[in-house]
Order: sequence, then C-alpha cells, then structure tokens
Amino acid sequence: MIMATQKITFSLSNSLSELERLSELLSLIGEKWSLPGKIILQLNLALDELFTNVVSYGIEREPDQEVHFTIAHREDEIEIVVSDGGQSFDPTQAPVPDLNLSLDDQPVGGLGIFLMRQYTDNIEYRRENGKNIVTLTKKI
Amino acid sequence: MDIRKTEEQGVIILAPDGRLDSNSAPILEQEIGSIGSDDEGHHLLLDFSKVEYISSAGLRVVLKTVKERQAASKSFAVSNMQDHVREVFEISGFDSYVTIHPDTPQALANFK
Repeated sequence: MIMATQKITFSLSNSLSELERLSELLSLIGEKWSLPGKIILQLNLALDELFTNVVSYGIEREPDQEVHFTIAHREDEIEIVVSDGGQSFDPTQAPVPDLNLSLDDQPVGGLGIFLMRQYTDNIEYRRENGKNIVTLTKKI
Repeated sequence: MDIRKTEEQGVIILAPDGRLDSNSAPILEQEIGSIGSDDEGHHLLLDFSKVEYISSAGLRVVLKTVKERQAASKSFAVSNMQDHVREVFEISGFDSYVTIHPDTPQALANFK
C-alpha cells in the first residue's frame, strides 16, 4: 500500500479470496481518513461487486493478472479508479434488473452491478491500452 | 465461513458466521443443498445474526433457496438481520420475496 497525500493505491490478485483483503484495506483507509463506517461498507460492496465481475468473467483465463485500485479522498467525495487488463467489460452497459418482477420471474443473479450503482454517485468507463478503467465517485 | 447448524422445534437453523460474499456464498449454498433429503419435512431458518455483510452473491443464494423451498412446498425464512444487511435486502427488493423475522423466537413461532 503506497500512501501519498490523500491518495492510496493497492492491487489484488484475480482471486475471489482477495475479497477479505479488500475489506481489510478499506477498513484501514476508513480509519486513516476518519470516514463513517457506513460509507466504507457501501464502498466495500460497490468494489466487491465490480471486482467479482472482473475476476469471474474478465480475466479468469489469465491467472497472473492483477486488479489495481487508486482511492483518492477529496473534500466532499471519494474517487476510486479500478483497472484491469482483462477482457473488455463495461459495467455502465450492464442491464438494469427489474425489481418488480414476481418471485417466479425474478432471475437468480444479476444484481451485482445494480448494487454497485446504488451505492455510488457516478460511474464512468473507458477502455484504454487494452485495459478496463472504471472510475467510481461517491459523495461523503 | 463457519456455519452453525441446529434444530429447534422441527426447524433447521443455519447460522452463517462472517461475510457473505462471492468467496463464501458457495459454502452456504452447499450447506443448504445438503439438508434436502435427510431432513425432509423440516422448515428452514437462516439466522443472520453473525452476518455483518452481504453482496449480490449472498442474495443469489437466498433467492435460489426461496425458489427451491417454494417449489418443494417447504417453509423458509431469514431472521436476525443486521442493519446494513437488511438495507441491501430492501434496496434489492428482496424483502418482498423473503419472510424476515426480527429474532429467532418470532421466526419459530411463525413456522407453526
């Protein structure tokens, strides 16, 4: 973990077991920046869902790939840039689930990106030099 | 993830302990799957008192369980949710699919 002024970067291997480390790192960042526990929980969920998608669908065939996170603390928001070198995956284009469906019609799954959207204020995606770059912002 | 399994008044109670994410959800899914044939006729309660975090992978297991139990005409409910977990359920509209009880005694009373 490299610390600059109000900016922290770290990387995770492309394994779902890294989710535990993600949560530990976010807790530490929350303490360092004195962020409310609720904000950290919500950011954790947003990043968990994105990371899970990337690991499950984006880079599963490339075992040595890492997913990189840069977290910046601004006056009134947290900005997180997540990048990976896997297959092209644009979360802003993910279909929005219909929450009003009856139980029988409700598909099992597909809520991850929906939750990521719920717990952030803005999501931008770009593909650059063979990398997926997702920028999430959350007001604090 | 550790999952405590107990039985009370004909209700199987599974109490997962920890974070319910895409890494741990398959463990719960397997545990729920394993109660099928041995415990026929029993009701199932998921006690979430020790679950401090749930992601869509955890929601997926809950929805799958709701559908399977309903198809088999067996009862299922969730209890003891912490605030953040409950919020994720509500945002996802899951509170309309799953019966949620505040505590275990109320859940047990409602299974009768």
